[in-house]
Amino acid sequence: MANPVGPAPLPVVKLSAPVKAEDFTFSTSAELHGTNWIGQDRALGALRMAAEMRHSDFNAFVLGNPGSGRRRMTRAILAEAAMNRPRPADWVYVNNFDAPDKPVAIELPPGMATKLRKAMEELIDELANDIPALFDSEDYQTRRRSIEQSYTEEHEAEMSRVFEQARARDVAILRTPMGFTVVGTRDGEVMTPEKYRNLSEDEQAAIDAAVDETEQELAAALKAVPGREKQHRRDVEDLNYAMATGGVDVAIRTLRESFSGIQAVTDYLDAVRGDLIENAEIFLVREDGAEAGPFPVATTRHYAKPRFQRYAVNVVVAQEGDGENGAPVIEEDLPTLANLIGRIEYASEMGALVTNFTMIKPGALHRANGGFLILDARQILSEPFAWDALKRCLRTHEIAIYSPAERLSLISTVSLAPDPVPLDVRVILLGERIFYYLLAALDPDFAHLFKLEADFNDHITTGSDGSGAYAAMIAEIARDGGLRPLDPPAMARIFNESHRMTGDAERLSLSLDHLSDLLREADFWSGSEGHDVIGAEAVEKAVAEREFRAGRLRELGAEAILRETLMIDTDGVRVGQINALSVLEIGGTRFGLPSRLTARTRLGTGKVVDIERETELGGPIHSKGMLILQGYLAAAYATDAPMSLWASLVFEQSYGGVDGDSASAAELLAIISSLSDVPIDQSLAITGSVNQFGDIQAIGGVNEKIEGFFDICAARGLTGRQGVLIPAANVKHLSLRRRVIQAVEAGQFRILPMRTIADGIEALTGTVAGTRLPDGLYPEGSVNRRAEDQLRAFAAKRKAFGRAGKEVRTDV
Amino acid sequence: MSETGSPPFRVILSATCYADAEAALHLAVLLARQVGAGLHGLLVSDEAILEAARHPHARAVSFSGQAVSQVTVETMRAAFRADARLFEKRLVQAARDAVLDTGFSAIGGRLMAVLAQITGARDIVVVGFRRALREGDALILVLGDRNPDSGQLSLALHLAAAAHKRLVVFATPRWEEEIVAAFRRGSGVRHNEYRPYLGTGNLLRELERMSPAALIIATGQDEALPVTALINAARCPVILTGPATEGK
Repeated sequence: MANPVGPAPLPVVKLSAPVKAEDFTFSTSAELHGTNWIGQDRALGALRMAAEMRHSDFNAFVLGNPGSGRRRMTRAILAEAAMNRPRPADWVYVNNFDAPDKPVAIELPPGMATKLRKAMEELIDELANDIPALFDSEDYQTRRRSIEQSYTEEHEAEMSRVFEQARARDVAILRTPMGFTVVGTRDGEVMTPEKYRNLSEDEQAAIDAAVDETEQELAAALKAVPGREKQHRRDVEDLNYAMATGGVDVAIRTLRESFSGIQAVTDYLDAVRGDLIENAEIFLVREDGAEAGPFPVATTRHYAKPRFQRYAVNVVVAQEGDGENGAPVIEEDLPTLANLIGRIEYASEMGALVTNFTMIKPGALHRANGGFLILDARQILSEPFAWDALKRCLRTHEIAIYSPAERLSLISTVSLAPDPVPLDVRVILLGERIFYYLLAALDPDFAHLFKLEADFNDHITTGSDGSGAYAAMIAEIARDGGLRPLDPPAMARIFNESHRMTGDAERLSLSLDHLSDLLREADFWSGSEGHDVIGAEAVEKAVAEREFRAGRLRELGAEAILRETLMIDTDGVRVGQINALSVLEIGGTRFGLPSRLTARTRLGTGKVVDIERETELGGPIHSKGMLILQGYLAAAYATDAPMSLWASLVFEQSYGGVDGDSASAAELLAIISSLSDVPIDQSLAITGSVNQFGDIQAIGGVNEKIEGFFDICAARGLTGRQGVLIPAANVKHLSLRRRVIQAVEAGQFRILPMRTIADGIEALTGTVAGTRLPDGLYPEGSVNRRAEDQLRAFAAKRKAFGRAGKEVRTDV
Repeated sequence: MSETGSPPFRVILSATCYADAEAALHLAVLLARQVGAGLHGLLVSDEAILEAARHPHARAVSFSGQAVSQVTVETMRAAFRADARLFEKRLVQAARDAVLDTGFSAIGGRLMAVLAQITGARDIVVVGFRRALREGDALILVLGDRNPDSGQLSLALHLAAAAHKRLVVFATPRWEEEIVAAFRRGSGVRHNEYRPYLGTGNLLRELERMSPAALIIATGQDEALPVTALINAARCPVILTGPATEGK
């Protein structure tokens, strides 16, 4: 039942994308082969550039919504590029014998780190057996005895001479608590003072001289002892050094030859040699008690003992395999500071925290060095210090390990300052667009370090890519997921759902996750029916089941309307009352519901009261829409008279927040209805925003809004008058459910496109809106004329009221 | 004397000063543990030393070779008393650590005379001696013509092993084979050595050059050894495994 005035209802063909099973020529989608990467040329180009460009700082940020396949595509492109890159170097940390708190990082050809570690372990094992044997050898013992003998013999000979001469001089050397006492003797007995006094002066003088001489010789012999001790120690040390040098040189020779081409290793081995020789005694520690195991010494893993840890090789990065692996592609799902740049671990010893170079652990940057590192932007931004550390590494081109506790001075213990490792890595950040835009706006380093943006499309337009390529992509998703193939009707339904996902009949979704989920659910229902292929019914079932699962809130809303708890009319007419439409989005569910919008007008000073805003339930965009419609009112009617209107607008029975401007057309129409006293047809609902010229502008969620009002009308019984007014600009977005299309096809429901507010007036009132004539007036009987007349009347009353007020004041 | 009439079995560590006693304390403890004896300390305030202290023209030199002045009888007696206290304290501590019975006495007289007076037949005497140089690497057993099976050799081998020293045995050539065989049966210390005993004069000359860690003398044999001369020659702690009698 069409109005004599107003826009014509849309034909059925305009209500959804024209995808039909006949458009597909395959029997099942198993015949189709393609790629998942359609419509992503921009992003793929950026990723390939990031993967292949050798200049630093061309790291990439992959923008896109989760489920767009961005991670899978990033992995695939990087893996392909990595295969063509050489394997990066191995890295090890070794002891710095001069400064143990500054471990030395050594770069090695790929695959050599583990070899060096094993070679050093074998060296220590070998020396642990060889050095004790060397020092236990007859050769060493003989030479040592020779030193001992030569050392003591000289002293002993001197002491013997002193004692011999003392005896010859009749002088005794007595050992006393106060040292030695030298005294004359007679007949082998110490001479008493009495006997001494009885001697002649010559005899006394001779004895005194003998005593003095002996004293001096004894003192000289004793004073020479420290010097001899020192020389003895030096001789023994020289012997030990010579023995250790011989043993170490023999053992280390093979190792040096194996790594002769690597200067850093050669330097390290020189330092190891020197330290081994200097500290050969650690190989001579006896294995007693618990340390002595049940195995023969030769089979013991000596290198694992703590005292040999200084010679260990801490392999930080080791490229294993046969050399065909290419560069690494590392993904770090938990990019904490430690997982990113590595960490220094500590062990508790006697209540103190200690560490050494073997406790340096690598991070993702070490493992990815020479290749690619994939990080989630949200994760790294939410980990303390991680983003800062990543930027520092990229900026300085090296990985320096430090701990946040040290940085914040939270711990005070002996720590390490390991050599930083040179860094050559391409970092790929994955994240939603909001992170990219925020970083670009707020972090001045970001643009410099991440020069490439790989922006993944959320959709493709149907015109830019043949439906064949998209169908092939669907076929690949099904194949990758191990699902049944689709028949052409099912493919058409998938296309329809894809349009629904984008909310646009001219666009197809590239949300691979959502498509994959839908296909898997359809596959499930198809399998439960025992079918070999996925048919349209299975897709339909999957969609219906999804809506049912997520439909509790929608059903509650509809039930409240149908039970007239929420007052929504779907027939009849009423002045100043209109059915607006809104979309609720909760979780992954979107649905539309009608709501009643009412307007009241009277004489005033040009104020439109937005009750939602006054009660602070209206959002800023809603308020903007209100001000725009005021602009329209002010310019469309009675421009030669003061605006003498007071109007109020409210969403009835709305107790939550309201935002968006998609109801601004409804609000304007409700005011015009109230002003002109022309009733509005309640069998229609309307959505659309309006500008100051009265043009109707596109809104979002058009499909859900139409379906929301349709479901209420259908539940009450379709009359054929019912329908929804939508902006003409939204017609291309229509991708309505089959139930709506069937009702329209049967003439039971209407979708009316509006281009201007006049279209809305005429469709809702059945009365001509009216265009201003050459005389400056709207046609008699038109809605606009009635509205303008009312405004003029308000202005006249206001003027009269003002004049009366002045007279009263004059009289007084 | 014990109640049974058998005197207690002791290792007597004797010296005329604390320095000598302390230098032989470890050896005495090892020996006491090895033979299962108690440890007795004996500091002899040697009359000869006191006589020398009275002498106006005697000279004193410290163990490090510095001249010491103003040595009088009184200062020497005070030094003996101080050494006795220190010796006793250290001895008790070492004996307690090694779980040994202990005793101590400080007596005036001549060292060898006092030893001859107080030692029993089963006692072992250790005469302390502080070496000017650090400890030597060998224990020396003077066996002479004594049969190696008499127990002296076994004692010396065990003591050398416990002290991580090699053993040098002076014995007449007819015992060489048995001694070398005993070396082979032993374990722990290698490089033990047999040397022929060719009379006292030869022994004294060799000892003067050897700088041993300790000297073990089997006294009470047919040819009594001049103990004082051996001590002066070896200049190291001396262990007397028989009666403390002075030979010629």
